[in-house]
Amino acid sequence: MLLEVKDLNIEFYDTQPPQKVVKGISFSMEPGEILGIVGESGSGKTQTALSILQLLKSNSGISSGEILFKGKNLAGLSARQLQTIRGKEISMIFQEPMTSLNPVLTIGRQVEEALKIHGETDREKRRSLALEALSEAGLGDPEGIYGKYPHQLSGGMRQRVMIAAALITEPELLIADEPTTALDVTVQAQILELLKEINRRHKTAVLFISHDLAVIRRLCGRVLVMNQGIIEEEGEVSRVFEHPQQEYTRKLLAAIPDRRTSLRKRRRVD
Amino acid sequence: MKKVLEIRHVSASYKDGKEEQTVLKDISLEVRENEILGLVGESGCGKSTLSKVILGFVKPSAGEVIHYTKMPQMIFQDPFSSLNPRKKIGWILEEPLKMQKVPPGERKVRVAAMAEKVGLTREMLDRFPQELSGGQRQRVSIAAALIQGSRFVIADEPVSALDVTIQRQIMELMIQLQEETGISILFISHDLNVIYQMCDRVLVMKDGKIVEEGETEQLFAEPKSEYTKELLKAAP
Repeated sequence: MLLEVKDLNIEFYDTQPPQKVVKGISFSMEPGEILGIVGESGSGKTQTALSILQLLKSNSGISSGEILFKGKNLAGLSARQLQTIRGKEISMIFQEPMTSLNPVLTIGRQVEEALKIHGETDREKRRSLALEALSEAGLGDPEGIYGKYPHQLSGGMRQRVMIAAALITEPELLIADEPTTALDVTVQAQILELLKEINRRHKTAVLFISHDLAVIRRLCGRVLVMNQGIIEEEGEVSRVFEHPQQEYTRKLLAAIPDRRTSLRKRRRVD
Repeated sequence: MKKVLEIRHVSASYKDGKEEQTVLKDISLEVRENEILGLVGESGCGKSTLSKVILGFVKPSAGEVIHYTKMPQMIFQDPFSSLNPRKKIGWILEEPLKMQKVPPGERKVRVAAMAEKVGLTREMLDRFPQELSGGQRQRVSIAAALIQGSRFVIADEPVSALDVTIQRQIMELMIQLQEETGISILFISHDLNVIYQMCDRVLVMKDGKIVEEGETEQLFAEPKSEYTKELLKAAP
């Protein structure tokens, strides 16, 4: 087992009494698998993802539960202890790469950063690994991009840079929080393909958080459906989509826009 | 078929420093009475500039924009930015009627009727925009667009920021209101599936041009332009 979350509870402290946002959820991940968590706002999916690397904002925290990564409880580690895992064995990418990339540093420096933090002192080696990561993230001309700044790149390219930075240390788990939500649909499709490819090639496990069921369906093997802090349903993606067991899942699936049924009788207007 | 809007050979450009960037290139289209016309495209294709040209915020460098009805009302993606945070919902809905010099008694009646139509409770009229959910705020901006009796509304990504179950409710509400009133809606979206479920006709935009236009069923079943095919393939 790569990741095992046991009876996880997360609370927001800025209300009295604290508001529970994740209510005793448990799930696990095998090495190399792609697990999706899908839910609407307030479902607790993002809090769950953030809690794994202790990235919750200061107004919230884990009130009880365990997050076992290869048997080690991450929830019990100090910030310093977690540093040895974050960005090395577990990496994370976010929805808006512009806010996670530093605007005044070159792409190269940012892609290499994790190597530096985790003790790679050889500058040439860092550079060559960075170029390799950029190229693997599907960026043609890695040499050119290496010296550029974030604002000189498109949204899709920035997300590829984030993926390169996240994967340069060859982590065993990549947590991706809505990484394609801000992207155009054609670019979104490319990024999903890239994640699949990386998963295939390096056996990197991916925990993929999204509100978009169609995206989850394209990428994931298994899915957790979250709603108001609990896991409503869990299973193989094809099973959950074709034979949803829970009322909430059915409602969610029924609401997805598709190209099978129009919601109205079309008017002929010529 | 009567039209509410006609655009003939419109081009528009922005000055970016010294460089002039053409964002609309020879666009011609018409919005007909009693239809939902979809406009689909990715970021930077010019779809938002097009709505600014229609509203007169951006002056076209060539071509003409002909309105056959009053200026359209807008519904935006994030109603939060278009609703005054210091005013209660009831006030926001009443304001345009004040400008039209509708007497106070009638104003109250019309606001209450419109609120009910879009599914806002009486009690919500007494709240501030930030006290409502995203879906409720979008109901407010729909009510605000319709209360003046406009026959033409431009909706720019009106459901893109909403959760999927709320999104469905707002789509159904817009369809229901369109059918009741017979107004025309220019429905701008990046989401092909939303467009499919809502629109009578569709325009596909890329790089400032309309690359394809047609009735919804036909355009989705037999796309002609390469770009439309690519979009359909990419959208799950």
